[in-house]
This record gives sequence, C-alpha cells and structure tokens, in this order.
Amino acid sequence: MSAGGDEGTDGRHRLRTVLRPLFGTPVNAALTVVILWLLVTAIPALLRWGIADAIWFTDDPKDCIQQEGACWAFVGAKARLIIFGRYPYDEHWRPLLAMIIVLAALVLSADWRQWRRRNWGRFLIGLWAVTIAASSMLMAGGIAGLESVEIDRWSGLPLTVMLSVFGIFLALILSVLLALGRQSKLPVIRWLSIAYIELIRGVPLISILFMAALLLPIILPSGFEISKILRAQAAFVMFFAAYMAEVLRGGLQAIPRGQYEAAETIGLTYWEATFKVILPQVFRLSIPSLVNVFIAAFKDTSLVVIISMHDLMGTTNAAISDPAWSGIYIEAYAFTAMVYFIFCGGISWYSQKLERHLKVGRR
Amino acid sequence: MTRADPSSDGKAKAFIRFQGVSKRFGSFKVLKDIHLTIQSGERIIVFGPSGSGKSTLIRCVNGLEDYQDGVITVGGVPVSRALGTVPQIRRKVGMVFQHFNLFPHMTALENCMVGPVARSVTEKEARNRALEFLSRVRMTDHAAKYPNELSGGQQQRVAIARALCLQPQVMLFDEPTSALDPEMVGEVLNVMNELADTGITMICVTHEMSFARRIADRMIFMEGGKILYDEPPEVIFSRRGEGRLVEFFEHVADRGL
Repeated sequence: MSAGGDEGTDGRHRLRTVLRPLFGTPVNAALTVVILWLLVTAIPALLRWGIADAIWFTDDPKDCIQQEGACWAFVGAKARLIIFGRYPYDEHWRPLLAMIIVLAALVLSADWRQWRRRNWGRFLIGLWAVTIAASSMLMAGGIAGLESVEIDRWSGLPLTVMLSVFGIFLALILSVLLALGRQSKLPVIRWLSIAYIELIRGVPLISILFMAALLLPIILPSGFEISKILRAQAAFVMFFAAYMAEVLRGGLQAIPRGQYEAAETIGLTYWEATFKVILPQVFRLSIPSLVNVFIAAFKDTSLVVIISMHDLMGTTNAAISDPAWSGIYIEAYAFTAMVYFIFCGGISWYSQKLERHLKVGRR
Repeated sequence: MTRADPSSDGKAKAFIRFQGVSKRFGSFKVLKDIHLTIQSGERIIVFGPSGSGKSTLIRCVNGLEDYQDGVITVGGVPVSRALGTVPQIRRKVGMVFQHFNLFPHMTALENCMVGPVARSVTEKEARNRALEFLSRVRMTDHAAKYPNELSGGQQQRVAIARALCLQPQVMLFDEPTSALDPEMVGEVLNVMNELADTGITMICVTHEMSFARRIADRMIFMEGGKILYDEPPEVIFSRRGEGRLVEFFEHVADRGL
C-alpha cells in the first residue's frame, strides 16, 4: 500500500482491494451475488421472527401459540427448569453455588501468572480435591442442615459443568500417565498403555456409558454400589483420557532428544525432567488440540441422556415437553445453544490468550 | 573460578580412564578398544573426521551412551548403567552440547537454577550461583531473557554457565561452536579460554585448531573409532604433513580456519 498517497487514491485503493476478491472473476461474482441474496432474504426474516414479532413477556402460553414470532417468554418461564432440571425448586441456590465454586476454581487454575509460584501444582491438586468434595456435598446435602437430595435429581447445567470440568481435570491427569506410559522403556507399562488407549479409542462413548451404567453394577460385588453419576463420570474420564493421551503423545514426540539429554546431564531424575522440562513444553505444543478435546468433552456430556440422566440438553428436552406450551421448542434450543456457546467460546477464547502468552519462550 | 584448582591437591593423578572400551551401534563399531588416561586438570582436544567416534567417546564419559566392552572410570568410579553409578558420575561431569539444548520455557537464569535446585541447593544459593556464573560468561544483562530471545553464541554461553552451576570437576564440550554463525564463534571460545585458565579438567571435541593449539595439553586424533594420535599440540602441528593428519588438516584449511 502506498504510504504517502492522498486520501482519495488511498480510499479507492482500499475499495479495490475489498472488491477484487469478491467480484474478480465471473465465478466469484456469481457466488457473491447468490450469498448476498441469501443474506438479504434470510436476515430480515430472522430479525422479524426473533425480535419484531417476538413475544418477550407473557404468563399465558396461548398468547404465544397464536403468534408468528419467537416466544422468548417461554424461555423466561422455563429457564430455571432448563438450568436446574429436576433439582428441588427451593434448593436451586445449592447447585448455583456449587457451579460458582467450580467455575471459581477453574478461573483460579487458569491464571497463568500464578503458575510460576512454588508448589502451585500441589496447591491446585488440593484446591480441586476440595472443590470436588465441597460442590458434591452441597449438591447432595444431608449434612450441615442441608436437605438431602437424591443424585438422580441432579440435572441441568450444574450436571453438565460438573461432569465435564471434573471429567476433563481427572482425564488430563490420567492422560499424562498414559502418554508417558506409552513412551516407557518398560514393556509391560508400554503395552498396557497402548492396549488401553487403542481399546478405548476403538469404542464409541455411548457404549462406554452403557457399560458403566449397566454392566458395572452387575460385575461389581453386591453391596458395593457406586452411584450412577460416579459411573458416568468414570466413563467420561476413561474415554477422554485416551484421546488426550494421544494428543500429548504427539507433543512428547515433538520434544528433541537434546532436551532429555540436557535434563539428564544436569542431574534431573526421570520425574524431575518430566515435570520441569518435558511436560511444560508438551502442554504448550498441545494446547490447540487439547482444547479441541475439552470442547468435545463439554458437549458430549449431553450423551448421559441415554443412561437417563438429565444434563442441560436433557432438561431442555424436558422443558419443551410441557403440553401447555406445545409447539414451542426452537426458542428453548436457541437458549441452550447460547449457553453451550458461552462455555465453549470461553474455553476457546482462553486458549487463544494462553497460546499468545506462552509464545514468549518458544523456540 | 572461585573453586580450587583441582590439580593443586597434590600431584596430578589419573581422573578419567578408558580401559579397552568398545561400543557398537548394532553391528557398527563406533569405538574400538579405546585406552585413554586423563589427569585431573588436563585439557584435552578431540578431533577427527565426522563419524570417527569423537562425540560418542565423550558421551560415554557421563553415561549418555552405554558401552559394551572394557571399563571407563571417573574419579575411580566405573561409569555403568548396570551398576547405577551414572547419577553419581554426573555430579562430577558437566556437559555442553552442539545445539545448546537450553530449556526454551525457562529464562537464562532459570536454566541455570533448575539443576542445583533439583540437587537440593536452596533457591537463594542457586540464584546467587547462577548469577555468578552468568556474569562469568558475560550474560548478566540477559539473565531474564528466554533462549529464543538470545543469539546462538549467547545461548551457548548460558549453556556453559548452566553446566558450571553444578560445580563439576570435568567439563565435556561436544562441538560447542559448530552450530554457530562464524561471527559468534569467538565469544564462545573466549569464555572457554577463560575456563581453561581456571585449571578445570576439559575434554573438548572441536575443529577450532587455533583454539586447540592455545589451550590443549594433549590433542587426540580419532578415525574409525580408534585413537590414531595422542600428542601435545606442538607435536600434532609439527606432524600435520604425515599420515591421516594430512587429509584432515587440508580439509580444515579449506574452511579457512
């Protein structure tokens, strides 16, 4: 671009650089026209449905059913059902608080400025143990004067958040061991790791969930019962650990041999070298692919519906089955999609920030 | 250096000893029946054509490579993976690599501190030591920088400081300047020169012949896994017209060194 050009030629030049890719060839021009036409017809219709003709507030479902536009009042009426599901209505503050605790722990662990602190890793492991215990107790009740709530009634967004956040956290720990195991010089450990990873990757998540829900109670000795939510959690951890292990393996293989040799020669033991030298570099290399798995894990929690647990997607389906509001469902799905998007978008936004931060010190 | 000259504790004694050492990669013999004795405080230059086993020779000293026959001892202790003596050996042996191998996610200072801290030196002491050696390699101003913010020569100087922070008795250099741009070779050789003056035992694989001539007590010429010459530099340079040395010196001269 000409730096000293006057405004007129500069503006024209900019216009040309915008227009050339859009209309430069007949094919491009045709595509541009078609896409513009689609946008021109679709966007006003969408706006009319979603805003102009929409009903925002009403207590009477009938108002909505006769209307052409969106019925956002439905979302307002059902929001608590969609978010908290079958959890006792008067106790909704408990899952809300549990969720806030989990998300606060997440934000605290995500703050990279703290990572250089001494013993921060140990602190985080403790933090998560406390978080898991505290949020589960808050949800389950039965202590400290809290009314006991059956695990079957845990549902909606808190279930989605807990299953996915705890699942991702535990799976990540397991996946590090699996990835290291797969590289191990000890044949037994290596074979076991490979067998585990390949077996789990070769099976759909649904079948692992089914096995966890149905097969586990049969093979475990009677009297040794694990709640359904724990079984589902275990299934998620097992499944996603295998995928994360493969992602980490890719990162491990990208670390030059010289790094191991340098760590060895300055007297680091295998575990010191692994945790201080190798893994920090592996994680840095693996962030984009790991985040991919995290997002998939977050959304795949919706599969617990098949073992009759109601995560966010399940409660959405429950909400739209209310006969009083029959025929209204797009609005509920739009709302749920937005909630998913906020979470997944947040993960993605954070990972990009983190990647940029870690660029300092990249070879 | 602050530490005492290792040769000053009495008369020079055999510190590193190769006795009939052989090493194979599969069926390929990299080292063939090596006999070699290095005294405490000696400065040894190892040179020879590529593939002659020079790097393997020094990598055997700190157990980065295993060997099949014979025995290597460092300070009287056999270097042996089977006997589990390698960690003990590495307390005495520092190493500098051709490609620096700094840890890219740590600053220069952290690179120097990680080893001592792992050997339960206090953080404060490790920091002081790191700063001392970084100043010795004239990298104080860059202590807070990451390796990718440093030039090759600067990285190699940090790598030397990192090795020295463990206060080794021997320093191994595996072609420390051959991955550097020519204009950076000098700064690294200067640091190594100063190090040589402290009386630390050094074994250095290099093709920098004028550096070798200046610091070496003995020069070892290797070819095909064998030591062909083991002489003081005056002798090596006076015999540069003979035998296998001819070809090598011609080659080095071609590179304008």
